[in-house]
Amino acid sequence: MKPKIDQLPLSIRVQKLKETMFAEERFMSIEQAKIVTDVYRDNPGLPRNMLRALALKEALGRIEIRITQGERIVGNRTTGVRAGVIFPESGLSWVDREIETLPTRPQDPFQVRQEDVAAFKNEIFPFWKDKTLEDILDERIGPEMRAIGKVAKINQTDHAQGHICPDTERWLQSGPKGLIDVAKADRERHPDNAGFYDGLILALEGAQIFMRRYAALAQEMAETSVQKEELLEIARVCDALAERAPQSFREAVQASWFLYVILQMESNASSFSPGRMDQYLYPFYEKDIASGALSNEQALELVECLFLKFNQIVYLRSSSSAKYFAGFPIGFNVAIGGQNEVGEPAENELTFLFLRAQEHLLLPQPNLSARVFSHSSEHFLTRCAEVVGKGSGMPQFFNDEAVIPALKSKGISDEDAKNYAIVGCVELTTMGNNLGWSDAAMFNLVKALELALNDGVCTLSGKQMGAHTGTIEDFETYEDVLRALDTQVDFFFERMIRCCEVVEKAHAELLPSPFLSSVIDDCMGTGIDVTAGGAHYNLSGIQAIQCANVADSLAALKTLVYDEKLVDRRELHAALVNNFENAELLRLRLLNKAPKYGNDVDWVDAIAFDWAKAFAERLSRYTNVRGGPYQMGLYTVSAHVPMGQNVGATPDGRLAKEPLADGGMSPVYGRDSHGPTAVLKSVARVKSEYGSNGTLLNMKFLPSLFKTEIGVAKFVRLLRAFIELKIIHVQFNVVNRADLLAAQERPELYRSLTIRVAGYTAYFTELAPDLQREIIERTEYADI
Amino acid sequence: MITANVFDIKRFSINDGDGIRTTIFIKTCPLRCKWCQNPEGLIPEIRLWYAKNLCVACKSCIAACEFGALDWDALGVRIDHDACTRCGACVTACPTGAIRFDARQMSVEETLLEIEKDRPFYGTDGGVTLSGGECMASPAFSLAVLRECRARGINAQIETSLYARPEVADAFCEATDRIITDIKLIDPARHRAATGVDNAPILENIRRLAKKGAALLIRVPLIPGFTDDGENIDGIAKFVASLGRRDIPVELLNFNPMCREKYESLRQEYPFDPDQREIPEDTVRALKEILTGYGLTAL
Repeated sequence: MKPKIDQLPLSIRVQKLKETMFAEERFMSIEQAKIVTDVYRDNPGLPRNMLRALALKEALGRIEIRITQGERIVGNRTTGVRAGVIFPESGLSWVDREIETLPTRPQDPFQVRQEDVAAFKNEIFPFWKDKTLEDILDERIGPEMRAIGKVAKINQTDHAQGHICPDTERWLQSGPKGLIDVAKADRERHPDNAGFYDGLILALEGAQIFMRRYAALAQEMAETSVQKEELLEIARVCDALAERAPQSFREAVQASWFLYVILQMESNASSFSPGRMDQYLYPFYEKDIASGALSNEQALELVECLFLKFNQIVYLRSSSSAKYFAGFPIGFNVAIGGQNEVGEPAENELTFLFLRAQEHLLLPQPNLSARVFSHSSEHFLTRCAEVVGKGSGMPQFFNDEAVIPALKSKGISDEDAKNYAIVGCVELTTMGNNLGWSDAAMFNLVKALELALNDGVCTLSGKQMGAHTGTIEDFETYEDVLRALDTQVDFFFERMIRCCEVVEKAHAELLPSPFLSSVIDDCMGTGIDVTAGGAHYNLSGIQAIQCANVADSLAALKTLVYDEKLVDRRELHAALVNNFENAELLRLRLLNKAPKYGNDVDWVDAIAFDWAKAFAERLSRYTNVRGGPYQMGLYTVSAHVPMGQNVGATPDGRLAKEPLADGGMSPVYGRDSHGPTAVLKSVARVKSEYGSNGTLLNMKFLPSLFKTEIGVAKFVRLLRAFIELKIIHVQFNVVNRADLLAAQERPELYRSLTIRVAGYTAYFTELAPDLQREIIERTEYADI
Repeated sequence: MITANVFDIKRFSINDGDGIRTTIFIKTCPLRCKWCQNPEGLIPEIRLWYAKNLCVACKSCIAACEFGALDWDALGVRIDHDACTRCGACVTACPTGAIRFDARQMSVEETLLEIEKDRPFYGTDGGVTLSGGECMASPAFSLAVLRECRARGINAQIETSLYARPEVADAFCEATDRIITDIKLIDPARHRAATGVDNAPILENIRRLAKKGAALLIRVPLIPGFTDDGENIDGIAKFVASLGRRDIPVELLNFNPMCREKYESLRQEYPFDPDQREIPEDTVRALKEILTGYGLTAL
C-alpha cells in the first residue's frame, strides 16, 4: 500500500492554471529596459551600485503587474508569462541584430510587438551604445577573446552572472524589513562602506513596494471578483510580507517566490537557485500541519502553484547562446533529500510532496534534483524512480558520496558541504554564501587535439591558431602526441585565465548587485558586494570539454597507429585535414576498430581521466580575482553541438563539425555498446573529486523498464550502484522512439512532452530540429 | 585449462533472472528448436560471423583471405566454413566489425573477471546467469563458474533446457540459486518434431528437481503455430500443477521477431513470415488464464 502523500490528486485549480499558462504566447518585453534606461539617463553622477539599486527600485514600483484568476502564489516580472526580458546593462548588440528574427528563429522563438522594436531602436539601443558590459568587454579584450575563442570560449560577457543560491532561509527569517534593519545597523559599523548599504536599503525598499503593490492589486480585484476571499487572502499575505517575516507555510512559499522574482529583475541571469526547499520550508510546514492550519492537499497545491511560477520566468538568449543552452533554461534548481548535518537522511514529507508535484506537472522547471547517498531510504529512491519513469527527465540525481568530498577538496567546510545544493543545470554550490562563477569559460580539449595533430593550424579554416607542435606525421610515438596536446592546452590556458579575470572585474565594476548581496553571506557583514568578492566562498568554474572524444581519439591513435600499426600516419593526417574525403574506410576503422570510452575498458577510461585531472590541476595553480580557487566542470548542457561545429575531423572517426559527446561525462552517442552498467563503470573512473564545479551524465531508458514494480526495483538497484560508484551526477531520459518521432511530426500534440537535453529539461517540441534528431539517436539501453 | 566458447556476454540483463545480471551465452545445444533465437549458439565450434547490416561492401575481407574462404554474392559475403582456417586476417581487415568470430574461447578465470565487472550492480539478488546454447552441455566450465560465483557471494542462476542426464542436472541444481527452464511442448511427438529431441528427460528432471525443493522458474516460449495453442498450455499447466509446488511460477515468453537477421547472416531459411511479430496481448492474457485456472502463478 502506497503512503497517502504519494497518491494525492492533482487539483482542478492547478490543472487549469497550467493550461492557461501554456495557452499564452511568449513575447519579448522591453518594459523594464525602458525604466532602467530612464534611471541611468536621469542620474548620470550616481555610483554604479546606487544606479543599479535605484533602477531596480523604480522597476519594482512601476512595472505593470497582474494576478491571474485562480493563482495562489503571485508575482512575476512581466504581465505576460514566459516573456523574454531585454536587459540593457549587460548587452544589447545581439538584440539589435536579432530583434526582427526573434519570432522566426529555430531555437526558442519569441513574439515581438512592432512598437517595441521602434522603442528599442530609437530610445534604448542608442543610449546604451558603448556602455554595456558586452561593449566594454569587447573594447577591453575583444581581439584576445576572438583569438582563442574556438578553443577557450569566454562566457558571462553579455549577461549578468547568476548561478547562485541565495540564502532563502535568512530571507524567510527576516523579510525585506528585517534585512533593512540589519543593513542600517551594519552601516553604522562600516561607515567606509556606507554606499554599499545605501544600495541594499534602496533595493530592499523596492521589494517592500513590490509586495504592497500586489496586495493593493488583489484588494482592488477582490471588490469585483467572485473569488473575493481568495484575493483578500493574497492581499493579506503580500501586505504582511512587506512588513515582517513569513509565519505560515503559505507565506513562506510566497515570500520565496518574491525573492526569486526580484533577483531576476535585478540581474536577469541564469539561475537563482532555491536550493534545499524541502529543508528550509519544513519548519513552516510542520508547524501548520501540527496546528491543523494546513492539510497535505493544501501544501501540495501551494507547492504546485510555485512549480508553475518557476515556469513563468524564462531567459531570453541570443540565437547563438540559445544553441548552447537550448530551451531557455532559467535554472530554478530545487534540491530534495540528501543528508542532514550529522549524516542522517534528511527526507521529510515535503520531499515527497515535491516529488508528487513533479509527477503531476512534468514541466521543465523547477530543475528538480534528488540528493542521494548510501543511507537514502528505499522509499525515497523508489519514488524518485517512479517519477523518472513518467518521462520528465526529473528528478536528476546528485550523489552526496561524491559531491561532499569534491566540495571539501575546494576548501569548503564540512557543514557547508553537507548542505550543498545545485545551481543552474548541474553546478554544485553551498547554500547562501557562495559565488561559484559557473561557466566562466568552456575549454574545448577536442579542438586543442585537432590543433595538436596539425601544427596548431585549424583544419577548418587553415588559420594558425595554436602553438607550432608539428603534425601527426612528425610524432614517432604515442607519447609525442600527448606532449603536443599538452603544449596546445598550455598555449590557450594562460590566455583564457587572463580573459576570465578581465570579465569578472568588469562585472564588479558594471553590475554590482545590491539586492543579491543582501541574501549572500558575508556581504552584509563586510560591506562588500557579491560581485566584488563579498561572498563567503568565491570560486570560478571552467568546463573541460569533452573527455569522451579526447579518450576515443587518443585510444584510436594508440591502438591503430602506434600499437597495431594498421593506420599510416601520413594517410591519417591527410584524412583529418580533408575531413576523411576519400578515406571512408579509414574513418570506419577508427570508429569501429578501436575501443571507446563508455564500455568499461579501463585503459581508455583512464585517458579521459588523465586529461580531466591534468586540467583540474592546471586550474588549481590560479586564483580568481575575488581571491578564490578555480574549479573544473565536466558538463556542456547543449553546447556539445555548437562546440562540435568548431572542430574539424578527429581520429575517433568523427567527421568535421559533428557534435561532440553530450553531457560532459557521457560517452559519444552510439559508441557505448555494453549497456548502462558499463557506462557507469567508465564514468566512475573519471574520478569525481576533480569535478567539483559539477559533472553531467545523460542516460536514456525506454519507459518499459518502469512499467512494473520489478522494473522500478531494478532501476533503484542501478541507482544504488551509482551511489556506490561515487559518480557525482546522472539524469535519465525515459522516452520511446515512436513518441519522439511523432513529436517531430505533430508538435502540437506533444506540447507538454518534456525531455532532458543535456543538463536540464526542455520541451521537446521547442528544440531545434537537429537537437530533436539527436535525442532520437541516443542509445536506448532497454533495446540491447 | 577449462574453457568454453562464449558467444555473448550481456550486461544489465534484466530479463534473465532476479535483479541486475550478467548473462553468459555458451555455445552448443542438444536441441534443434525450429524457432531458435540464438542459432549461432547451436554448434560448438567458433566460426566466422557476418553481420550484413554492418557491412559497407568494401570487400577488404575477401582481399585479405589467403584461403579462398570468402566470396561475394547478392547476399553479401559468403563464408566457406570448411575452407576457413580461422586465421583472422579478414577480421582484422574489416573496418566495421561486420566480419568477426561468432564466439570467444574463454577460461573460467576470464569469465569470472567479466562477471566481477558488474559486481556493484548485483546487490543480493542480482548476479550471473549462464545461458546458451545449453550451459549443461559444457558442464565442467559451467559448474566451475557457478560454484566460484557463489563462493564469492554472487547469486548464480542458469537458463537451461534441462535436456541432460539426471546426475548432471542434479550437479547444476546444487551449484545454482535458481534454475530457469523451458517446457516448450508437453506432447512428446510434437516436442520431438519441433526440437529434435524427446521431452521425457526434461519433464523427468523437472519432476525430480521440484521434489528436491529446487528454486525453479518454468518458461514457455510462445511460438506462433508451434507452442501457442491452448491445448499445449493446458497440458503444461496440468503438468506443473501436478508437481505440487505452488511456488514455481510459469512465465509465458512472447515470440521474439528480432532474431530474423541472424538467419539471414547464417544463410538459413527463417522459419517464420518475416512480418511475424509478437503474439497479441489479448491472446497472451487468455493463455495466462489457463495457467491461473490451475492455481499457478503466471508471469
